[in-house]
Amino acid sequence: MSDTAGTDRIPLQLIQGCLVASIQVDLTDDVLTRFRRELLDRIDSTRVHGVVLDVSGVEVMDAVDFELLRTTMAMASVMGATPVIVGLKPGIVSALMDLDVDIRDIRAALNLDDALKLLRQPDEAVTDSAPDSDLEGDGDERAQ
Amino acid sequence: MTNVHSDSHTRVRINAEIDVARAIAHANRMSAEAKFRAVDQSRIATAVSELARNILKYASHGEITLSQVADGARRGLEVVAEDRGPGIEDMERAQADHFSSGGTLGLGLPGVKRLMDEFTLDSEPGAGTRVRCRIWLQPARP
Repeated sequence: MSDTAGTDRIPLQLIQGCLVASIQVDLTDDVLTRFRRELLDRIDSTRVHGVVLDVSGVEVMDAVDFELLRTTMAMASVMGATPVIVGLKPGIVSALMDLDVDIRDIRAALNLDDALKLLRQPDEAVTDSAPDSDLEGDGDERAQ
Repeated sequence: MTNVHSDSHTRVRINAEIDVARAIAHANRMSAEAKFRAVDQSRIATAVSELARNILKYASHGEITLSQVADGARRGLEVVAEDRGPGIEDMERAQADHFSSGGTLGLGLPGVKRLMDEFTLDSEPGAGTRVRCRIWLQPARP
């Protein structure tokens, strides 16, 4: 909605070995296309194992926006960084379901902390010792 | 679709991507004024976004008209998307899921239909397309 749409940027921060993108601008093809390029470059240069897309600032997401975001997440995944989306508003989720978008490969978390916890690698999980809360539990062949 | 009383309306011309954002902004303002719940405000905005994008993609130009409507005691919002584009050849398929003649994601019309309470599609090949849809305010619980 700004008249300087071409200059809208999505900031990327390195937090706990993950790249965190804070999407606080209106999604447009231009913004997302540039974001994609930057994200893939940063994954390559920082060697992160996870990417968090924080969309808590996004008010409206239609099927095209979602598809662009979904493809971006797939690209991160193919690079080797696990993508997690955070902060989707209830109304957006409700609308996306009616639009019948493809959510099969979407990993989501309620907030940034949960997302980072989800992305924590086994050797970093020093405080999570309770075996029943350990999703990476050994010997338990869950089809994940 | 039944005749309803229409109060104020806002017309947004759709000629470029920025107009999609303008239509969404007007939809947000009007759905907030009508006191729709936040979830419904999002759903209305999404429907408007889909309809405005359709106009750009298939007809290049058109307009979205947003109106506060009333039917007896019921209050609601009406969205009309009109263009003079190529029109739709196969109306049934256009309203079926996963059908597209535009090469990408489909018309999104089944989605819009699910997002709103009432939906009608009028189109004539070569003459244009008009989508009219409404959503009604749920009465507040006592």
